[in-house]
Amino acid sequence: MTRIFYAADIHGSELCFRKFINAARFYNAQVLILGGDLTGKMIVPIVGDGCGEYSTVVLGKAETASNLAELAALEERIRGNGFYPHVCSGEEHRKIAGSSERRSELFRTLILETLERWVQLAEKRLDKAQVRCFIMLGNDDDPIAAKALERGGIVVNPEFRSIELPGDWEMLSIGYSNKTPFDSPREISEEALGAKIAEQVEGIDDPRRAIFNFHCPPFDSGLDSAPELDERLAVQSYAGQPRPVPVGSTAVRDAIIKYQPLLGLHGHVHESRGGAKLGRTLCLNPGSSYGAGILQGVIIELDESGVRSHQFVSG
Amino acid sequence: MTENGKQAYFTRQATGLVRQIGAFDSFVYNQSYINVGMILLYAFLFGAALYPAGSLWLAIALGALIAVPTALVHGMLAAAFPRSGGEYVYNSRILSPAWGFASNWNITLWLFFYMGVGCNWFSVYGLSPLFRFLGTRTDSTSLLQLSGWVAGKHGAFIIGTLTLVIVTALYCRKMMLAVRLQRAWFILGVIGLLIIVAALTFTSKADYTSAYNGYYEKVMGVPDGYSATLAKAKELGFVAGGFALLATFIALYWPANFFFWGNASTYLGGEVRHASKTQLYSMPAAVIFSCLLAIVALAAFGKTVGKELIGAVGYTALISPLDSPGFIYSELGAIACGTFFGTIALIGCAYWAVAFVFSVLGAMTRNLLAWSLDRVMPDGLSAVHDRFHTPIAAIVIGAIACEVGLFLFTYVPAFAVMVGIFGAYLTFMTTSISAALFPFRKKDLFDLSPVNWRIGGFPVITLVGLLSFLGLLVLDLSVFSDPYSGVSINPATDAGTGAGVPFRMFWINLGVFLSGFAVYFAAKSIRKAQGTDISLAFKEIPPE
Repeated sequence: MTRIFYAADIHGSELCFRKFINAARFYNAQVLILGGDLTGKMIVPIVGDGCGEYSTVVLGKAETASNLAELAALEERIRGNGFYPHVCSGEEHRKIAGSSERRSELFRTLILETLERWVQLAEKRLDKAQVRCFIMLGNDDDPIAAKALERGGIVVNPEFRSIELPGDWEMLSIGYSNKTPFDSPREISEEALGAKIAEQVEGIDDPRRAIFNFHCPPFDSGLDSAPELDERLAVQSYAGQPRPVPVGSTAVRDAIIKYQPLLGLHGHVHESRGGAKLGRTLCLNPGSSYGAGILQGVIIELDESGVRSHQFVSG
Repeated sequence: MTENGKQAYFTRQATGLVRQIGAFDSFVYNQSYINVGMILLYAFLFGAALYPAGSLWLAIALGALIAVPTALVHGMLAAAFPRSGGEYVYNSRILSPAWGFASNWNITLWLFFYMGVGCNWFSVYGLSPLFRFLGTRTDSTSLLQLSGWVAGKHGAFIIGTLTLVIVTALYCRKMMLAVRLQRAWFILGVIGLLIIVAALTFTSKADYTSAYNGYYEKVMGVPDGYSATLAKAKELGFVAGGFALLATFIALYWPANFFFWGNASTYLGGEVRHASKTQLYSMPAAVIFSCLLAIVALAAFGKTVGKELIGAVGYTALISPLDSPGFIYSELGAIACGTFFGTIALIGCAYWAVAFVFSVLGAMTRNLLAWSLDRVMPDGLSAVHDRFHTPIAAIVIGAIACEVGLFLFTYVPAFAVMVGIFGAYLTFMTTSISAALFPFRKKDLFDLSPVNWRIGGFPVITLVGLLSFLGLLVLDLSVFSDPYSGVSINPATDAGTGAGVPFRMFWINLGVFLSGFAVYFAAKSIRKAQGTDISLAFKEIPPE
C-alpha cells in the first residue's frame, strides 16, 4: 500500500512548507506532492535607518527591530505569513516603489532565493530511500521559479513528465490553469490546456491507471466554486453570503470524463475543499489556509485495486 | 497600503487578491442572528410582564455590555483563523478535535432546534399580528379568525412546517433566490421597525390610547381596552412600577440572550474580506447597533404605549392567554400607524420572526459538510447534487432536525420558551476558554496572528476570553434565577410545566453537549476500523 500526502497553494508560506516536508514523517507518507502555487504574492519591505533601527508594517501593524536578532525574528514572522521580507534602505525602498521593473526583478530574486532554500531544506530533511517528493508550479508562479526545482535531488518537478508511482500507477502533472480575471503568470486558454493534457495522456499506456495531478480543478465539479466577482474583482454577496460560481477548467473536466483516471489531485480554488466523483474518477481539492499557517492537505492510500481511503487534514 | 507616506508592501499579479464579504454584509448577517425584533418581543413579553420592577433599559444595556467580550472572542479568533467553520476550527486546534466537534455539534443541534422555533414564531409572531391588523382595519372576520388559527398550536405547526418546506426547497434548488429574499426582507425589517418608532414618537399618549381602545374593541369586543387590559392584569396579580436591581438582573436574560448571537459570521470566516479587521469590528458593532436600536425603540414605546400597558399585555398573555389579545411589540406599534404603513411595518417585522429560519440553514449546513469532509460523518452528507449544485443531503437532514425542533417547541411544554439557550452557550463558554488558552497552547500560531496583542506582557485575547466566560456565567446565573426560563439547577423549580421539569431540561442541555463526545469517539472507532484516523484531521504538523 502506498500513502500519498497531497497539498497545494501554500503561496510562499514558509511555515506551511516546513509542515509539508514534515508531513512525510507525521503521516507516514511515502509520496509527497505539492501541487502548485508555491510562491508568495507580497513583498514586505523592512526599511533600515542606517543606525541599526528597522521598521515595517505587517498585517496593518507597525513593527520595529532594534538589533539583528529582532530583525531575524521579524523576517521569520513575515515569511510565516507567506510574504517575502526584504531589508532595504529608505533610498532603495523609494526606488523599488517607483519602478514596476525593479519590483518584478525583486520578486523574481526573492522567489528564487526562497525556493532554493526550501529545496535545500527538503533535501536535508527527507530520506531519499523512504520518500519521493514532487513539487510543481501552479498558475500563480512565475515560470522562472522552475529553475529552483531542477536541481536533480530528492525534489522532482513532475510537470509534463510521466512519473511512475509504487503500485504501477502513473502520475501526469500540469500546473497551468485556464484563464482567470487576475492575469496570473501561467494561465492559458481552455484549448491550449486541453492540448497539453492530450499530449501528456498520449504518452502513457493506460489512462485508467493514471493520477491526474492538475493544479486546476474540473469545471463545475464542486471543487471549483469561488465567489462571483464583478469587473473590479469585488465579490458579489447576497445577504452576507457570497454567490459561488464554478471557475474550474472545462478542458480538465473533459479529459477526466474521457480518460477516467484513477484519481484527480487539484488545488487552485482555496475555498473549495472537498471531493467529487466524475464517473469512476475521485477528484480531490484540499483547499488552502496558508495565511493562517495551516497546511491543508489530503492523505490518500492506494493499494493494487485503487484508492483504499482518503482523509482531509489540516496540519 | 502606506505607513508614514511609505508603501507598506509590494504585490504582484496573482490570483486571490479579491474583495470578499465586506464589513457591511458581515454586519447584516450578524444582525439577523441577534434579531432586534425578538429582543423587543421577549423583553416585553417576559421582562416587562414578569419583572415590572426591572428596568428594561438597564437590562438591554447590561445585556449588550456582557455580550461584547463574546463577540470580541469570536472576532479575534476569526481573525486568527480566517477559515469557515467557527468553533469547530478554533476549538479543534486549540483544545482538541473532540472538543471542537462536541462544541460544534452542540451549537448545530441547538440552532437547528431554534430554526424550528423560528418557523413557529413566523406563524405566531409574524403572520398572526399581520392578519389581525388587516382584519381589524378592513373589518374582515375571516382574517381575524385566520389570525387566531395561525397563532394556535396546530396552525403554528402547519404554517411552520410549510415555511420550513419552502425555505428548504429554496435552499435545495434556488439558494440565491433564498438569500436575495432574505436580504430584501431584512431591509424591510429595519424599515418596519423604524416606521413603528417614528409613528410612536409622533403620536401622543392620548391619541394612542384612543387608537388602542378602538383596536382592542374590534379584537376582543370590549370597549375601553386600555383600562380593561390594566384591570385584567391587576386582577391576575400584575403589579406595575418601581425599580429593583434584582428584578432587572433576572429580566436581563430575556433581551440579553439574543445579543450573544452577534458572532454568526464566524461560520463564514474563510469568505470574509480583511478578516482580521472585518470580523473583529463587525461582531461587536452588530451587538452595539442592536442595543442602540432596541433602546431607541424602547424609548418610543415607553413614551407612547407606556411600560405599564406593555407589561400588562404580556402578563395577561402569559398567565391567562384566553383573556388576552396577545399583542406583541410590532402590533402595539402598528396600532399607532395608518393601514398602509402599519401593514408595511408588520410585514417588515415578520422578518425578525423568521430571520433565524433563513440564516441557520445556510450556516449550519456548512458544519454538516465539514464533519463529512473530516470523515466524522458519512461521505454522502457532503455530496453535491449534480443538477442543483447544492448539498441536498445536508440540507434535508438539517430540515428534518428543524421539524423536530418545531414539533417540540409547539407541542411539548418543557421545550417551550428558550430552554436551549443555556446549552447553546456551553459552546460559547468552550470557545471563550479556547481564546483564553490560545496564546499558551498554540504560541506559534498566536504570534503569527494579527491579534497577538499584549498588555504588560499579558495576551489581550486571554483577558477577553476570561471576560467572555464571565459574561456567559452572569447570563447563566440570570437563567437559573428565573423560573420562567424553563431551565433550572434546582430540582424543585416549576415553570408551569411541572416541578422538576426545568431541572430535567438542565440535564438535557448538558446531555446534548456531551453527546457530541460520544458521536465523535464512535465515529473515530468506526473510521479506525476502516483504516482512517479522523483525529489526524486537525492535528498540527510540527514545523521544525
